[in-house]
Amino acid sequence: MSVSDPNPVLPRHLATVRFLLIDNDALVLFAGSGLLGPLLSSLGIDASECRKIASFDFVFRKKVPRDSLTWLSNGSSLPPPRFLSLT
Amino acid sequence: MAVERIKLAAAQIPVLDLKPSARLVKALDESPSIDPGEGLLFGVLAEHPADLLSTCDRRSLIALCKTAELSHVRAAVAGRVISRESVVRKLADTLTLAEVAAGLREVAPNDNFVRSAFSSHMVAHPEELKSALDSYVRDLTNELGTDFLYPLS
Repeated sequence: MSVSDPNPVLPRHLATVRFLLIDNDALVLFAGSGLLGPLLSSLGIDASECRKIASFDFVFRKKVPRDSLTWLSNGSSLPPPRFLSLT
Repeated sequence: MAVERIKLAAAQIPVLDLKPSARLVKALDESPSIDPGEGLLFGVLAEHPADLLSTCDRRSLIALCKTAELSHVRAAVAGRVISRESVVRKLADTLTLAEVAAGLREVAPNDNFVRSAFSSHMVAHPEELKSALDSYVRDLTNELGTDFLYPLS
């Protein structure tokens, strides 16, 4: 690393973001509330530059609001939500 | 409807197909406050310096920053983590607070942060709400260190 490097430790803002990794709770919260689009805009990236983790579908079924039960049981290929732990 | 928005967004986002090194996984696994999913994300983030992470898991962030054995991981990811609190605070400046509140309460009615920050009283008093959000971000920054959170612009 050059001594002239203006930030030899950590970038405060990345010049180029490769991926935005997003945890399950953040994906549910931001996408469901409508904040995901503005967040991605503020970072200058789009959804194709995000990565979610493979357990998302399972967590989604745990986290979604109670009024989505109809969709879960009728509108998808997911199994019945017998393990839902809606709080 | 929130469920449809989540479904659509999730369908557009590919699954992460990278895994961190076994050494890093082992180090992260030893913290009881960091679950395997968060460990995976921290590990990949540590090994890919052009990645960012957005997370709601305050507990695991605090564990990462307070565990001496994970100080090398913390150093590797510092400055590239976007917390729920900082996203909401930043977007509260640019979006209608009532819309933000309605959206958050619809999708996370039992989230302590959402419930307390976006109570009916707070939404009716935007300056109090912004002050409360500032307080959340300040508290989190104090816990994690001033270098840790990514500064949203």
